[in-house]
Amino acid sequence: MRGTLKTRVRRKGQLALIGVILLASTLIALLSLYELQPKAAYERGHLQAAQLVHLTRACMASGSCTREVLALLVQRLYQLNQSYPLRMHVTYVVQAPNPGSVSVAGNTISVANTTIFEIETLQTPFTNAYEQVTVSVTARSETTGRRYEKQVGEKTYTMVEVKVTYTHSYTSPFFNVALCPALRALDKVADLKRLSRCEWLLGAPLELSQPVDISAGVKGYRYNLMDEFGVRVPVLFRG
Amino acid sequence: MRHLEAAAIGLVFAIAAAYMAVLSARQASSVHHLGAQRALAWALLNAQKPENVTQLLALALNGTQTEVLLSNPGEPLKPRLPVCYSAALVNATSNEVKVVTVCAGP
Repeated sequence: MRGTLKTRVRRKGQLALIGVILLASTLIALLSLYELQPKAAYERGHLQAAQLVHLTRACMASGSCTREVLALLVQRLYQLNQSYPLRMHVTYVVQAPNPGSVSVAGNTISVANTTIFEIETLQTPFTNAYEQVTVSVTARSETTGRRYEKQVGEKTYTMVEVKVTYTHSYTSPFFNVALCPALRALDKVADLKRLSRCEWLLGAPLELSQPVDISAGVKGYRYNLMDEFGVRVPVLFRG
Repeated sequence: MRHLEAAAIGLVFAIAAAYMAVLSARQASSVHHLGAQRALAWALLNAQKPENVTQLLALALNGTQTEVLLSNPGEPLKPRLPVCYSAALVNATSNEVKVVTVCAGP
């Protein structure tokens, strides 16, 4: 009698278990038939900031990059944005790389060209503040005091040895990147050797350098190199 | 009866596993296009010429299901994959512009 009751209870339990399993499997099967419609939420930020860095370098490579020239290039991006998914948002040019600034500290002369953009990010509607993308290109030169003669063809040049530190720095709300682009000479006379990531040793031919006023009362020379992005790099040194 | 139970449990496991696999595949593809956008940004930061940008981009996206298109302004974009990001490669000296597009999707 007790054995029969126990068996009946076990069978009811087993049937309930099967019921639960069937219900669960039906629910999961129905759920798996449900077609998910993936919605693409486009990421915003990195690409726009990188695009502005690219634009600044292109503008600098063209020669004189003023605020007007840069603003025209930004307008071009807006136009392309209508037919291609550039995903450009409101951008203002706050500062252009030209004319740049020169500072002299002892034997070291620095030329800095800084470009500043203000862009609308996802944060802007909440804070009412635009965020900045900054591109800073710095060339620092320091004469070592060594001079030597170099014969190229039939001509003899006086070479002035200058240590050059050249950096690109890109800051934005999305990334902070520092690059040390490769440099090359524009003639076959200069001697150029990479010392470390950003440091170069330049033998600048004095005869191919341009006499300039470095700052008030400081006279010197300017010798141009070119970086891997096509940007002219001014190396200033005292003669 | 035990066979029936075992079959029912097996069925549940099979359906659940298949569902999870489909779900994770869809999840992966939605995350994937964010990588494409950042890869394009990275290539833009490190290179200037179109051929160098596309080379770096191909390097960054190696092994992922994406497509890279290089076109002239005005050319219609015909991507196979649905989620695209473009960048304009400007040569301000020659006034030449190329558009590089990277597309990703499920």
